[in-house]
Amino acid sequence: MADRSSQNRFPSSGFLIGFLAISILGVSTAVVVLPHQPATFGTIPQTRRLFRVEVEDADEAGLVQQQLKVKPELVQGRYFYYYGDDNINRLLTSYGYSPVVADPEEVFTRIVRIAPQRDDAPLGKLGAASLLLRERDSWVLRGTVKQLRELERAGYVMKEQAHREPVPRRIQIVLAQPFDVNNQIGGRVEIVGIRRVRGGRAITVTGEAFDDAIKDLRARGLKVEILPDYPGVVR
Amino acid sequence: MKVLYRILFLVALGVASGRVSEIRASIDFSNFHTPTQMDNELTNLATTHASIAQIFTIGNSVEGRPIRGLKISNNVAIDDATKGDVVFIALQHAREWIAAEMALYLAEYLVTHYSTDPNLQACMNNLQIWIIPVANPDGYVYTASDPSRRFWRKNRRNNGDGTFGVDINRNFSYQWGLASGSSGVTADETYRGPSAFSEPEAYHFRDFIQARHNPRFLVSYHSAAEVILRSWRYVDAPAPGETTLGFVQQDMINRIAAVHGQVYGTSIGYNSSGSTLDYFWGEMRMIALTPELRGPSFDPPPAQIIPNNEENLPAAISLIKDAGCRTLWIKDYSADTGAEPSAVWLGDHWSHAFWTSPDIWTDTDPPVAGSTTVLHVRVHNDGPVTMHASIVRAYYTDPRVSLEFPNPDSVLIGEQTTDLVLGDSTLNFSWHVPSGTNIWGEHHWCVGAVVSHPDDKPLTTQIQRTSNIGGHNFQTVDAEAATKLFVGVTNFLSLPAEVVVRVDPKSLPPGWRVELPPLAERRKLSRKALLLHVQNNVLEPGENLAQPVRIIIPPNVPRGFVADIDISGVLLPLVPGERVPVGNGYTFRVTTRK
Repeated sequence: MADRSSQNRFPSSGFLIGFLAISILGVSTAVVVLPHQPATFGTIPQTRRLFRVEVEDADEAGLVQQQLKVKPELVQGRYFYYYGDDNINRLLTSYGYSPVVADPEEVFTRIVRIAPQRDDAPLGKLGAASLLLRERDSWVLRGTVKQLRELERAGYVMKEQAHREPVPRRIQIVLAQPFDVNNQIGGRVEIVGIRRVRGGRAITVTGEAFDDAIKDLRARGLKVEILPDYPGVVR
Repeated sequence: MKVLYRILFLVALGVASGRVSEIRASIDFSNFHTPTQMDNELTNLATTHASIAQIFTIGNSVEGRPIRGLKISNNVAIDDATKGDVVFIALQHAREWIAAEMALYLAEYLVTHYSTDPNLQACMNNLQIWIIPVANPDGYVYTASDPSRRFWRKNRRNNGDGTFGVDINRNFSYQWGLASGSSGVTADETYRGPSAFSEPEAYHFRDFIQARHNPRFLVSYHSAAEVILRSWRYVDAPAPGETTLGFVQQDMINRIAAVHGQVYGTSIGYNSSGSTLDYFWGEMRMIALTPELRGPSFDPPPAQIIPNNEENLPAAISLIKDAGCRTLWIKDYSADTGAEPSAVWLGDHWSHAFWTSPDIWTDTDPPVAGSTTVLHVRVHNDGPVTMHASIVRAYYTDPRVSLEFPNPDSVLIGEQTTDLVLGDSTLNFSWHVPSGTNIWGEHHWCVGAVVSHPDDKPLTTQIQRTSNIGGHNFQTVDAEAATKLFVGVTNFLSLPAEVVVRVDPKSLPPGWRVELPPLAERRKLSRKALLLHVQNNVLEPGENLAQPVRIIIPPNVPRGFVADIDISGVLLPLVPGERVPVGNGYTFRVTTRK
């Protein structure tokens, strides 16, 4: 059970009835938020239906967009997600695609802040939302709408990011093997520089990453040192 | 008094034209420019050098700001298809301010030295130079708006989930979506975007390049690793044309080091997928390089701007001269004047048979299979000076209409380093002609020669697109009319591609016909092919295709009659946007049965 005393430091928006303007991947619309739906991290409009088809790669996704005029909302792995209807799906089917209904609440992610917790274990138990940042005054979570709703049901009070964007931490990692850096550190680090450790084979990688990526790196046995933020950064 | 009048006149001119920014003799690089100053300086360059410089816009950013650049050309008002197009772009990453300073510095240098440096002017007259100092205007404005935002990297796309920004240099389609050096997490610095070319800053730039008539090279300035990057970026593997890419890269490094002793590296030590460089090399074989400029970090002291610009300028000028001035060259066909490109694909055939270089020949013609012969390569030096320590390489390979030099399968006949004097020089190579057949079962080989010098570098691997490469087919045994012939194609692109093979009807004697029967086994077309309504065969990367050729000869042709039949083709990659043809051709010598 999550620690309720620390969860409720943010004022809850409670149950909101009315129109709430939300933005999903840059598309604005207005929806009625029912009393049982918490609205603190937005909902997904149900006026359009989300589908997915399988594509081989980015070029095929680009060809679907160019030739069939079907705009991708998201291309993730081999899945091409789009808002469609029967006409669009018939067109895609004629080219050999098999449209499948997708749940937008399991596809699109949101970033929210919660009050700082004593530890992150309860969060992990409640869902796969990732913990981007543990800041002093708040924690920054990233998850699908469904994941975040689960957390909200468990009592976590969430606040939208608003204009306070998450800033990755500056990090430094020493790698014993001076090759295949991408594989060693994964894809979630923006590598800013690599230099050889004096008098040895090892290399020092400096970069930027969020706390969940840093946790992964540490789980791989890498020693990650957090460097001071760039000048002027406000957390 | 005269001075006062002049000032009043300039002020009046400024007011009349609606400009408020001052006109200065030279740009001050003692500090970083603000976005407004950067814009004004670019406008000033266009205004003060209106006969050769003009502002252009490739489109608007995600927040609606124009992505502006300076076009430099001696007939700047028109888009001249006869000229080569060279492109410099900077500041895809918002925090890398020094990159924009470099691009502005280059622009100013070119417009101010055009009239004072006749050698540079001569090369610039053959080019349209496009310089875009700020490829990410929204990010640039954001980084300059508050000290806490100085290190913002991406554009300012509202990702809709509480985060902003896509990394423009991970948003290009070539190998987009791989985990190598890009991220699918919106908050990450290397977020690749929801789909390839989702960002206007990326797709406007792609469209801009593809709309050019004759693109020669792209330089994309970044900072701050002090390295020169080239393809491949998405994987640790050599790219096609590794020798060519490496030569240009090393030359840049040498030129930079010669100024202030700053030695740039060759590798950054990690990969990035969806990058600008890989897109243009992978799909267009247009050489693309990224100088990672001076640091330390992304906010070097302003005192670094001038030395940074000074040391990077000669490398940029050298590339402009490579692209604009022909010094060393090899003819692609008898009437070739050295123009680049020497031939263009007209939809169903090449305008010239550029695989018939008269500058490449053997002692015995045709060469005898299994013998050793002398291969001669003639290189022209148009001057103005002897080109010391030039490198000439000769290769042979199986014939393919998809040929490039060098290609991964080409065999090096020889390499010579020599001084090429003004006029013509002929180099001799000993060539052991293969005794067997090529992969198509024929006695037919393609020979290519590549000439390189630090002051005249090939900027592609395509014969027809650079005068530094010449090619010639050799058929060691005449094909008889009844012999089964094949046209070979190999897909050297890392993309699936449509194969178009065509016979040039002009090369056929009267009454002769050549048929390219459809292949017996045609696989089910991929969805990419279906989407593009492809009618021809499709080759996956690395795959070979042997297209049978049937020659139909009228009955009245005497025995022993010889005909040289040109067959050519292209690979058209199965990609969205402009499908840039990459191809070649060869000539069959056919003799009627004796």
